[in-house]
Amino acid sequence: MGGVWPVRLRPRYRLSPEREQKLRRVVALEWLTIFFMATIILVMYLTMGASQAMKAALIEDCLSLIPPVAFLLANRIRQRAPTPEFPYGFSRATLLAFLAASVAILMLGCFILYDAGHTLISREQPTIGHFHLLGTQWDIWAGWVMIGALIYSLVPPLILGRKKLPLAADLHDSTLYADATMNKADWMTAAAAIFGVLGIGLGWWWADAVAAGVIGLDVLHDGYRNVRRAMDDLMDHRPADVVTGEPLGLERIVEERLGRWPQVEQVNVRLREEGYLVAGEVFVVFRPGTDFDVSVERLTAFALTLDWRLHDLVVMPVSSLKALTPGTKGVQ
Amino acid sequence: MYHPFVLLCACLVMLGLLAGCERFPRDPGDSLQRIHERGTLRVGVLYGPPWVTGDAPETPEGVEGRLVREFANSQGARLETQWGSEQDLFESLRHHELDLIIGGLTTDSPWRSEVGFTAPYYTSNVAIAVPQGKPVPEDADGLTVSIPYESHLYDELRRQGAEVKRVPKLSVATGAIAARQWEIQGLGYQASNIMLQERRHVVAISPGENALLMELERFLANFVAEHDMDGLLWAASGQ
Repeated sequence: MGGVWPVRLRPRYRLSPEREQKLRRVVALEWLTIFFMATIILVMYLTMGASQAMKAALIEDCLSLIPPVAFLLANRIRQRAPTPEFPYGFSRATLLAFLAASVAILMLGCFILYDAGHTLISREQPTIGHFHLLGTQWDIWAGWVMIGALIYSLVPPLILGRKKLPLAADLHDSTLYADATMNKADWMTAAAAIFGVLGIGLGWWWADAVAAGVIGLDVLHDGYRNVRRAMDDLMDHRPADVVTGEPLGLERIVEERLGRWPQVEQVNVRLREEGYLVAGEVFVVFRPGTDFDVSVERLTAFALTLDWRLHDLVVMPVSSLKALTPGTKGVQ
Repeated sequence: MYHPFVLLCACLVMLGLLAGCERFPRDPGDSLQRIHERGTLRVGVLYGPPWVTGDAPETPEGVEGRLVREFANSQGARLETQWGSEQDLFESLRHHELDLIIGGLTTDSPWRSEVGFTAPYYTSNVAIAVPQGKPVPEDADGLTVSIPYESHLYDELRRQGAEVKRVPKLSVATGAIAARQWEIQGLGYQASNIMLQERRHVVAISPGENALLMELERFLANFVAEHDMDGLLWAASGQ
C-alpha cells in the first residue's frame, strides 16, 4: 500500500472575512505582547539588583512569552490545507498550543508559590540600597526604580489581556484564552511585587512573600484548570465555551433543526472539539420512502450552516438510532 | 476584573502615602535608630591587610578600619569592634548582634545570600604589569610572571599559558608581575590589558537593614570620591 494512495481530504476551512479580520487583529496583539514583554524583561533585568521578588517577576515575564509564541506558531500551522499525510487538516495545532500555554501557566504558579514559601521559611530579608546603573551610584533608593519598572511591566499585560478576552470567545480560540489568563497572572504578580518592594522599604520583610503566595495560588488554580481543559479537548471533549468551559449546546441545536425536516424521522449527533473547529457525526433515521442519496448531501450542507465552527460533519443514514450506537464493533 | 484592581490600587496608594510620611526606606531591625540611641556602631572585624590591619582587641587600622571609624563619627557614634572568625562574625551579623563586618570582603563572598552587602564601593583589577619602559605584553602566553608566595593567581596564570615564578614579595621581582591595581601603581609598574580578576569590594551589613545601608552607601561613595583609594591601599599595605 506504499506510494501515494488517493485518500479523501477534508475540505479546507475558511474563516468568514469578518472573523479573518479579527484573527489578524489577534496576531497583531500577540506581536505587541511579545514586543512589550521583551522590553519589560530588559527593564526588569537592569533594575532588579539583589531583590528576590524582582527576580521572580523577571522569570515570570520570561515564562509569559510562551503563550503568545505558541499561539503564533499554531496560527501558522493551522492555516495549512489538509494533505494526504494529514487528511483531517491541522486545526488541532491550536490545541497543542493551548496545552503548552497551560503548562506554562501551571509552572508559573508552582514557581511563584515555591519562591514565596522559600522566602517565608528561610526568613530571607532582602536589603535594598542605592540604585546603580552603568557603574554609577544614583542618589535614589533602588526600590523606587524597581517600583517604576514594575508599574511599566504591569500596564501592557493589563490592557492586552482585556483586549484578548472577548476575541478569544469570539474566535473560539483556547490558546488565546490561556494567553489572556497569563496576562492576568502577569499584572497581578507585578502588583504583588510592588507590594513587596514597598513592604521591604517599610521594614515588613514578609509582605512580599505573602502577597506573592496569594497570587501564586490563583495562578496555580488557573493553570490547573487550563491544563485540564487542554487535555479534555485533546481527548475529544464535547464543544464548550472557551471562557466559561460550559457546553455550547451545539448538539441540541443541530438535532432540533434537522429534526424539523420532513424526511427525517429521528436524529442523533455527537460532536468534538478540534481546536477552533467542531466536527462530528450525525446519525439520521429517514422516513420510509425517502431518497436519502440526495437528502444526505442536502442535510449535511444545511447542518454546516447552523454554526460557524461546524466543519466536516458526516451524516450517516441508519435504520434505527440503536443500529450503530451504542453497539460496539461486531456487536449489535 | 476591575474590582480587585481598584482595591489593589487603593492599597498601593495608601502604602505609598505611608512610605512618604516617615523616614523611608526603614530598617526591619531598626539598626540605624539603635546606633543613634546606643551611641555605638558595632563592627565585626576580619584581619586582612591592607583593608584591615592591627590585632584584637585594638581599634582596627587599614583602609576599611579608617572607613568605619569615619562612618561612626559621621553618625555621632563610638566604634565598638569585635575581632573574630568569619563564621562567628557572620552568624552574629545575621542575628543583628553586629551592624557591619569589614575585612576586604568582595561580591564573591559566599555569605552574600545570608546577610546584606553594600553595592561595591571600590573595584580593583588584578592584571599583569611590567616595569616602566619595558614593552607591554599583548597576551600572557609564554610570559614569565612573578607572584608572591601567598598569591592565589597561579591557576589563572597557568590557564592563560604563563610561566609562573614565586617570589618572597613583589618588590624583588624582575620582569612581569601579576598584581592588584594599587600594587601596580605603588610599585611604579605599568599595567597591561591582561586582566586576571576583578575584585568588587563591599561591606557586609545585617540583613534587611535598608536605612543603614542607604547611609553607609552614601558615606562610602563620598569617601571614594574624595580620596585616592589606590594610594591609601598602597600606604596601608606597608610594602
